[in-house]
Amino acid sequence: MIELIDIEKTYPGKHGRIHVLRGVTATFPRGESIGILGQNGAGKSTLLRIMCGSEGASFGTVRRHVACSWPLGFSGSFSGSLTGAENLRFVCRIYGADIGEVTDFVAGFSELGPSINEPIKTYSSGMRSRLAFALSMAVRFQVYVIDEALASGDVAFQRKALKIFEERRAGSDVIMVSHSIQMIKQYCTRAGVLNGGKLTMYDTIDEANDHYMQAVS
Amino acid sequence: MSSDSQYPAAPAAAPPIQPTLVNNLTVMGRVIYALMIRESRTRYGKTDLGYLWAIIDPTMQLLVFWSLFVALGRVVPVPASMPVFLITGLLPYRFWQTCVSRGASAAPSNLPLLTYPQVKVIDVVLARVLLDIATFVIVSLIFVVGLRFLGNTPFTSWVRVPIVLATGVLGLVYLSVCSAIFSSSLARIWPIWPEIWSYISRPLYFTSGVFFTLQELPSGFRSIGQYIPAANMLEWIRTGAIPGFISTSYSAWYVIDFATVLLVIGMTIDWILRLIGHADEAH
Repeated sequence: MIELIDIEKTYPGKHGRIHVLRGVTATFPRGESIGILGQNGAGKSTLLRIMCGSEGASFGTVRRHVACSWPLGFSGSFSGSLTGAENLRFVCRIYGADIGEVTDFVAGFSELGPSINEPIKTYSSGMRSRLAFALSMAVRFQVYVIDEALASGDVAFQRKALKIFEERRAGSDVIMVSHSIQMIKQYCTRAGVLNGGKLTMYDTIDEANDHYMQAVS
Repeated sequence: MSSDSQYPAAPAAAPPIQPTLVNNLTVMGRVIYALMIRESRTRYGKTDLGYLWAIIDPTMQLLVFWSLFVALGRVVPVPASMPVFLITGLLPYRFWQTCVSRGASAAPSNLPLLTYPQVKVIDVVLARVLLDIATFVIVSLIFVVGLRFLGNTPFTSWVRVPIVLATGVLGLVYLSVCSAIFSSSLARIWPIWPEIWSYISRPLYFTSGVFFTLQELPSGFRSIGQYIPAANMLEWIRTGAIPGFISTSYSAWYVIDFATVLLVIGMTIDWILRLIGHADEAH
């Protein structure tokens, strides 16, 4: 279960502080997959990062009683001068995962082949994102966190990515932010709308979508 | 999970979710270890010279100052040879100075790693400093052994009172860790700090007793020098290291107290920043 209690988030801006979240309170119980709708700049990514612990809230409390993933497909931590294998070993070490198993899995799934031992700066962006996605799928989490896109890459890889994600989802929940109702309908059981720094949760996805459409127009 | 899957199940288990002290410390140890390996690969793996640079750089500095001293006719102010006097100043000073710089750039240059919830700024600082401690120890040993065989300097010319030398080195490590933590916190709330440090560390080099001892200064200058933590530090180490040199001009407690104040300020800033969810920014 993830609990958010009175979450406020401000960032320093050029002209005073920017208030992104203004008192978000919500509970995300185990067994439910939650989608959060919101326009660009509504603070969806910020909310997601606070939920999974990538960032702290300015005020308020986050209680996390589940093993929560980093945003799927996150590749910002990769160091260009290190090889794909070295970068994934870093993630294995901080999660206490078995380096051999993860390397085998990632090398196979990402289809990188021998390139996994080349520095990442020589990769194409497609190779980079395949590596990042495969790595996200290599650690078993109770909650998978998705920021907009599940996986990038060519159609064949996306299909493959969707398939394995379906399998991972069997015992895990999903928390995703998106401005696409289709994605949320596909993966989530409930949805909420983030608007004006506040999160409103609805019982059904259709209800959430109606309110989202009203807010957009 | 479907049994007819063509993909293996996620091989790695989920991270622990109970935030007990033991779990937290285990995770912290894991993170620091991972960061050290990563840092050593990015730091020394960049050029073909790699680790060699860590020994070439201080050697060149030693040679430059050695020839300068000989040209100027400077007499070594301690009963030791020129290289022993210079190395007992150069290496500890450079180690401390490097730690402050590493601390200053710890958060901005490792920002994306903080996305993994278990990676904290303090882990990055400690990993970097640990790597510098290892480098400092190895480089020091290389100099001691190298000068034994190339310069005919016996091992005994590096140790006067072992316990004073050992506590001096521990004091240096403590000062450096605390300075790095302070420097990291300061840079996070005052982003211009790394630039300011690079300016003040240069003159500090010449006032911290790398090239002189507090003992030999006229009393006026000496009483000023006694407020410089690095100068006290070097005097402490040399008192332990150089046979026949006993300085009464330094205070070990001054170094320890100064370091502890830096540590408390640094940790307090870090704690407050964590509390308010401070978002660090890249350079």
